[in-house]
Amino acid sequence: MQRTIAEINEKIAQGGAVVVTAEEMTRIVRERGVPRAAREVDVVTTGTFGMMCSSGAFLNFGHARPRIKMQRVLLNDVPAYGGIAAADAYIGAAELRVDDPGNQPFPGEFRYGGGHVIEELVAGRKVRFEATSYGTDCYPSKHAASWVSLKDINQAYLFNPRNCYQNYNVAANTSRQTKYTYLGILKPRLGNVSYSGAGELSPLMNDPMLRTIGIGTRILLGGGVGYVAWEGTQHDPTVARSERGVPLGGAATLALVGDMRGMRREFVRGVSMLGYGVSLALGVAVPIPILDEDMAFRTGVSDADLTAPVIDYAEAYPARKPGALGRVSFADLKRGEVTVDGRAIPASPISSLVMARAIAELLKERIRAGAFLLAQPVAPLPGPEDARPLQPLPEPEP
Amino acid sequence: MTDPRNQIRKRFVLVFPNELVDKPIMCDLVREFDVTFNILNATISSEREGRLVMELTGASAQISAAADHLERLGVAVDSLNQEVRRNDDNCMHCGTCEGFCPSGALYVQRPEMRVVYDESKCILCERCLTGCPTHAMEFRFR
Repeated sequence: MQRTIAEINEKIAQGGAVVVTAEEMTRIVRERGVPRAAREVDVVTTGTFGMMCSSGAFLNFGHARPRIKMQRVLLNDVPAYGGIAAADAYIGAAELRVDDPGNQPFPGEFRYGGGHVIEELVAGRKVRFEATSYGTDCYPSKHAASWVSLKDINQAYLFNPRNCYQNYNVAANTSRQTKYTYLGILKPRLGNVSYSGAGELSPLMNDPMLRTIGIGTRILLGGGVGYVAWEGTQHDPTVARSERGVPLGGAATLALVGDMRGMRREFVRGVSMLGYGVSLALGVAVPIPILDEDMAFRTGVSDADLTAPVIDYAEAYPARKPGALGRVSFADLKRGEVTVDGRAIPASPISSLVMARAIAELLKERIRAGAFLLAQPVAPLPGPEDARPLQPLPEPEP
Repeated sequence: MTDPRNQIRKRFVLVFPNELVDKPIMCDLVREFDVTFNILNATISSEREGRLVMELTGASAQISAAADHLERLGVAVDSLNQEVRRNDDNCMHCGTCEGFCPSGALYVQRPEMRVVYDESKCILCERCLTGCPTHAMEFRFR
């Protein structure tokens, strides 16, 4: 059984494509077997929703009169990077408000930052704009202030250098103090573990070898149409894999781009991580064409097949020491209890499976309605043979 | 015991001065006023002043009498007119709260993975006010 993306698109246009979510596909493959699932299903929709700090938006505000270079830009008092052309800026999800006290007193609350500005823009709200610059002959103004909303901004698109991590660490804390991390609040003495990821619904868990996801793949980003732009930062397809070919830890990542107009606030949420910082919780849905039996087998992956390393965020992670406390399956993580060192430990997510399911369903409905066609990637992402393992920062010269 | 249908519940914040911290005051309340209590939160400051958030259950008149009795002993009694509520529009059901909520009031319902807030289990520790990533938990006056 073989089918091409062009053939699938014809079926979508005629309203006859069979589209299921990755969770449904897991059940279909288990009940009917790989060959039948491959014959019967055309597209599997995957979804994930979680904090993706490496996200941000390119914005063009339009020119002021008289003109200003907009060297330093503030949006609701959150700095945006202005070291690009006049009237352009990039607001990063993890940027703090100028008067944010950081982690003092500890743990800092980080109530507002770049992720919140992005959420407010997507929600259609007005944002306070302020820019300063040195003056030039062509850009004489040194200060400009206004209010802007998505209606007024010329271009507004998310360009996220690192999204959709393929597998990730499960965080634990072996110390005697509470730890406040980007993976949540960790109780002392292995009191809990926390994790991020949608398991069998997750995009890159369903195409572990990146056979169908490449540069140019059309996706839903924040509920609107987006694209895979490039390999993500820290993309590392060389990590060890299970017998099924699924990475045993953080591996591939995606750089994603998408127009903020068309996104929905429910899938684009500014977040505050106590003691850590601000971020953006983002929903992404990726369609996977069932080109053949291999893709049916891949998308049939279940939470029981997916394992992640339990890493000590009190010692091993911050000190960049190798070694895990153990391995746990997504089936156990989602059940809410894992076993580490023979001990039963409660497990809680910090990513939303409810919202991951919602965006995977949204993509499924759009494809079924003929409103979303699959895109043939224009180039593959680096695979295990094309990439080198991640390098740490070089040690300083003696 | 009072007929359960006539029972009400009322929450109080009690501040015990240093000299009352070691007296069996709550025990006396149960014996003399036929009320039951549930301690929601208890702290003792460095000056040995005790702060107790508690819920009394019993007949309305008995609860008032019990509160008057506490005031006569020198306990500062405030009826608790604040509560922690969830702004459902802001909850994205991420589950971060399940990891730190000490009373199990916030928990993930499995396998749906929706976050449920059971207000009756809330002990007003206020951790969710800063721990919830989207600030969905709010302190409100009743």
